[in-house]
Amino acid sequence: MRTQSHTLRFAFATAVAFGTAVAASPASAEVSYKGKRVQLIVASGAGGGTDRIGRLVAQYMEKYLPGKPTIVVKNMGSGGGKIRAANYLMNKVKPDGLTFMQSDNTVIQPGTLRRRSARYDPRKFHFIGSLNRGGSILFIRKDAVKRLKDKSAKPVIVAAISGTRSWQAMPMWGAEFFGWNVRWIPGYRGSGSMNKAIRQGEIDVFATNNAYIIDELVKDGVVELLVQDGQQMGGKVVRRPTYKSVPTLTEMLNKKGIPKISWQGYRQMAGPSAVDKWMGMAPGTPKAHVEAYRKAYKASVNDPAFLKVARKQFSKEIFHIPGSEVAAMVNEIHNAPPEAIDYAEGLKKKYGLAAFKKKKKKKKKKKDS
Amino acid sequence: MFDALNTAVGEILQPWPLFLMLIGILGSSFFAALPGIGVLLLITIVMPYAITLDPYPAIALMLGIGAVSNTANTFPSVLISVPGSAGSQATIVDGFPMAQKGEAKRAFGAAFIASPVGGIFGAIVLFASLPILRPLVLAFRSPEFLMLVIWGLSAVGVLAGRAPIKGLIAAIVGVLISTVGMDNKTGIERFAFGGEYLVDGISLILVGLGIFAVPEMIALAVRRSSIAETEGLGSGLVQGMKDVFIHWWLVIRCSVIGVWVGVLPGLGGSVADWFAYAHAVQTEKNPEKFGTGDVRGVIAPESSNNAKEGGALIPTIAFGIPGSTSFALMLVVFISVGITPGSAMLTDQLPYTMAMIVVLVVSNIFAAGLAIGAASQFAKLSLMPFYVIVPMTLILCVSAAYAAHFVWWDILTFLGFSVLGYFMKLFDWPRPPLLVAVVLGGQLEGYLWLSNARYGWSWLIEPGVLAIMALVILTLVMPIVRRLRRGEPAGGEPIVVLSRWHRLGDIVFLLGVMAVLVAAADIGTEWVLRASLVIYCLAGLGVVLGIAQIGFHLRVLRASAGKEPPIDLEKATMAAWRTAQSFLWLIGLAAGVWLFGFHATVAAFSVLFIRVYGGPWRSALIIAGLAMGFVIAVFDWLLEVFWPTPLLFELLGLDWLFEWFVNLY
Repeated sequence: MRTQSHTLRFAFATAVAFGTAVAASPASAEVSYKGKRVQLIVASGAGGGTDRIGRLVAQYMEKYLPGKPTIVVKNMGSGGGKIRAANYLMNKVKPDGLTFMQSDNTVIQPGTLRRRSARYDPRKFHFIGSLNRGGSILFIRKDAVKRLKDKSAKPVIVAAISGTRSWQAMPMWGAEFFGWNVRWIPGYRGSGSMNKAIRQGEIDVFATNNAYIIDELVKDGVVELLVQDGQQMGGKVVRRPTYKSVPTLTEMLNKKGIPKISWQGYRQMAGPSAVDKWMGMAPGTPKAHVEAYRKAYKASVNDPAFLKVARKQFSKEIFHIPGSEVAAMVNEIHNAPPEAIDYAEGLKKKYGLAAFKKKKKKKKKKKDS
Repeated sequence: MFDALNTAVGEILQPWPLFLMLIGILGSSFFAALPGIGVLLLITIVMPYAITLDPYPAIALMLGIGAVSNTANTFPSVLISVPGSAGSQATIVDGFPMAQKGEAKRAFGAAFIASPVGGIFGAIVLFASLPILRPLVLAFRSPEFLMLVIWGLSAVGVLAGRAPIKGLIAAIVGVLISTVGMDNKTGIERFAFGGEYLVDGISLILVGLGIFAVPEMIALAVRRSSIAETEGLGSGLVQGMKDVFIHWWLVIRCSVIGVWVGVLPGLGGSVADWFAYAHAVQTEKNPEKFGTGDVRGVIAPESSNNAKEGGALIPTIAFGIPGSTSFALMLVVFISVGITPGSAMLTDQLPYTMAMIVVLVVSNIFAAGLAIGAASQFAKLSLMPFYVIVPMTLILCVSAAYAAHFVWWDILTFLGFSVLGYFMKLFDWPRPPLLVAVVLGGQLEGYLWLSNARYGWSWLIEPGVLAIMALVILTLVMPIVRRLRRGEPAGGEPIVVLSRWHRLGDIVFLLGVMAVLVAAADIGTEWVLRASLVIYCLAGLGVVLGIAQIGFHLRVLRASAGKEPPIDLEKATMAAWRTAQSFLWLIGLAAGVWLFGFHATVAAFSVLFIRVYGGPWRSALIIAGLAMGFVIAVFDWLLEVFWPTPLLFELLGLDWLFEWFVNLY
């Protein structure tokens, strides 16, 4: 990475020049990236959360990958760039272990796969691991709390970007099973604009996993915390450590008991956010490479120096999900029957959010992939 | 309050923070002067380091970068008609004609005094508005924003100048461009054609490069002279500085505009310069002089774009609501080093707020000094022969375009806008309305939708909305009233500048534009009405205006039949041939990059161009070396771009050779 990579390159050149190349350690005997240039594709524009997390991890991966390769970071656009990058990983990247990707939960949502531009299957990716910053917390303006359960009152307004964010599952299932009196207004540009709108009273509800935004809103007495996505640890959904008093929607739904299809629909929509910022490799990458990357990733994200910076920059509660577990989570999400996805997309449509029908041209999709 | 200011001054004026600030200013100036590669990249690069600093040094470094990101970008705008970044586009309109008149130095003198004055003014406004910071930001909801956007768009009328109908059509095309990509309200990927590239929308810089820079370079290549049509440059630097003080009242007004655009997150900081420019044209005497190299046309945007940064700090520190990606990253740095934007910025953390204000002031002065020091050297570029300037600028354009997303499509999109820009210039279309509409178009649709979805139509009678509406009407009516008072016709005069052939060409061009609008509406029929309504409105309005303009052309053609002087066929043929040559060079450059890669192509292109047009070998080799050095330094070292294997290498199975080559340094 940047200066560090130049130093590394220089150090490497010096080592070769003096004929003192260090022998590979036994652990990395199978694969080594010595003297190689490894590419990290970041599925977002420079500067966003996905980009910063990817670049930070990459700095440590350089140290922990066998043979200490140079890692070059390449950004692939923003917004739609996520899909472009996923398509690229699926169809273009050589599975030679010299390219890996940093992306986020948007591209592993089944709903996203129904977009015209999506030409990939996340189940085929080899996941290296993921960093979760803590699940989203849904909050409501204090002056709107009373109206939430009172169907005769004016509906509570939920902001949405375009219905693609997985936290929308919370108000949707809330409306469906807990009688929430809500109305959606999609079209906001991001957390910043929703943050302002909730302070102004233009909207009443939105969710984020950004502890800074949540804590400031609570401190200023604007909102009350309502429910959370929680986070998945060892296959179980648990509450975020710093927001222990806020129930997860999973708990609430379990208590209530809902039809199976609806439950599956919720899981496939909310599940991806439990993965959060993942790293992965192209389909067909040899196992030895995947294992080497998983090992290096684990070592990187547990490095005390990494954790110190990551906790400062991203979240105090940031935690590591191993690659195998990410793969299992993604499989669970995508093995949901199409009816479950239809159910969730149907709810989105019912509440005026962006929804996608199943792709018509299935044959073409197969050909592309 | 003054205790906090004392603490802040004491903390910032220490060697370490001052050193970091200086690094920030130098870096920022360098990145700002490189077209297409803005300070956002610099911020990304320093961020991992910045979050390890203490609060005051972090403020010094980050705001050193942020405060002056709009100072040095004046260089390319004035010299080669290339927008250094989105914040300096309006400077081109009068800045480049000034360079053509041999007044580049005067333009620089004016810009580099107006910039810090605006920047410092922004800091003062920030200081003065501290007590009302939070209510100020919350006063503007979606309906008020909508009205502000409409107010901004009303500037289009002014920017259209002598061709109001074409200006409106250009704005319609701009709004249409802004609809490309994912629609936030419906999630529909509009005009993405099932591909991924356009899902992101079209990058503003590609539009700016295409419609401003390339047409000017073609004109230069046809004229085959230097940019300055004069012998020397004179000592205009001091004159430019004096100009700022002569027009001090304009500087103040434009600074206020800049601050306001900055304060309102979501208005799109990249239009502050256009707002200021339009305001100048609207309110100053002799508006017809704007666009022909009037120094006021440089002073206005330059005093607004630095003021904006002070304004943009207000929502960032008051609520942690950043107005742009740069400020979003600064916010991350601030939080990481222990500064918590929010109410505490006015109590416990007041010294931090004061430190930000101090850094804004100091770095503006530093950066202006730096730019003034370099101005005379840079100005000499305007005396260089075209065979040096044109290849350098085209290479700069292609690389700036490529830097948008680092995919081939960027270069193709840029070529498309170059063709559009060329025809717009040829047929005397006003180009600024298109650019302003690209920025504001998305906001217009978005805020209109949000206002209606949230408040129904009742937002129309909100007091804030009514107040801004009154301002819009005032802005539109005032110039007409003033003209009537002076006894001029209210509609302005449709000045006839086009020849018969141009007029016929323009009719064909108009038909083409109308066809695109209709095709867009046809594509829109596949979407839900919520996503396509805006397209239908644009197409309908565009076709009506297009017909009106064609009707006007036909009337003039009939009236002037047989009365026009015969055209100089020889001269016209030569111009056409030279234009075709320029386009071939541009396409060759793009194709070369695709086939052989950036490094080899830029070097070969420079040598070829200079040699073909009679430049000496010495210039050819120097420019080729500079171009290659630029690509290696900026793309390989600084940005670590991962080059796709050029087609030729791929076809011949020589991937390894290319890889070996790019790994050399």
